[in-house]
Amino acid sequence: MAEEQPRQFDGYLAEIVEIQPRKTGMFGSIIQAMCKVLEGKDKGRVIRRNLSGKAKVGDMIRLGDTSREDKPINIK
Amino acid sequence: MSEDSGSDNVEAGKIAAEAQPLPEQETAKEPAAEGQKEGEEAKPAAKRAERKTVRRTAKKENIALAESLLFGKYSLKDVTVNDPSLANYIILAQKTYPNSYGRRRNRVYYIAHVNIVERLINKLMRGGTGQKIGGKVIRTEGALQGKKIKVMHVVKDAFETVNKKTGKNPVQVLVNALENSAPIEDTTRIRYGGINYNVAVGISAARRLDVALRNLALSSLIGAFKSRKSLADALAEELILAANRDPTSYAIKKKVELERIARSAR
Repeated sequence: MAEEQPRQFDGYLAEIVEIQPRKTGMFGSIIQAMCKVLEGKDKGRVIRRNLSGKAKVGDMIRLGDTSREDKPINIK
Repeated sequence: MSEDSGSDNVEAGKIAAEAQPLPEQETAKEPAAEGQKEGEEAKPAAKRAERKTVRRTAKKENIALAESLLFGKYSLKDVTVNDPSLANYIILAQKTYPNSYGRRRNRVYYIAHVNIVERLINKLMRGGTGQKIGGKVIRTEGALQGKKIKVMHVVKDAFETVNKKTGKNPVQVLVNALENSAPIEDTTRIRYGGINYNVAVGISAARRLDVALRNLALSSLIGAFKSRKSLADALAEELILAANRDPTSYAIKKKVELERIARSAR
């Protein structure tokens, strides 16, 4: 059943290289991960990103844009 | 097509298994009768035993194959996942009735070991939508809550209608629907000086699948609420719409909405 659909833009693939031990977000639900971009203009770059949900090293995610880098969300 | 050939293969395999040993018997007897009488008597008996074991194992294998097909019909071996990010979490283990009895429930990554069809069933077992849709909170009033076998039959019926309408393997349709309705970006709230802001964040692979499954299950509950459509028909309709990237699908609408909000909050 290997029918190839014409895919629309679904973000650039990236692989999680490292997960920072500290959690952020209002309720501690956001994690920070270093992601290695595998597609697009910034191929090969490693950027820091905020992620929601569970993640582990080696997971593949999709990023909407690869140009910006996320800051840690500080709670005061 | 693999989905139709699943049951056909089994029958064909049984016939082949029964048909094969017969010509061997005729050919095997002739040399034994012509050959030397001394010391050769043990051989035919051994051959007969071999043939028996071959026939028995072939039958057993066929029975095992038929038992392991999903709902006795669909094979999960030919199903392909195009999205590499979801591929680690979409489990396609062969099972007739996808039920793990909650064995791995308390482990950290238990969802990475559960069959994808079972996860859909688990998401459908719920008391309602939990939020207002069209001004009303939809309740199933305990009709589905905790009733896994009942929901399993719903999914079975839905898969049959999907197979009839599209002619494809319904599990492949489900996987395509999940790939198309999994969002990329999400938002979270932060608070600076008493004012709430939304900030865009990415979504991990596990959560992408969770959201997609939840929206597919919700849409079937909404579709069957106060209408003549059964839950199975509503689920089948939603699966086909989402697999074709139809913008009228509930799951895809939700995905587009989430991503639009996230894009504006970057």
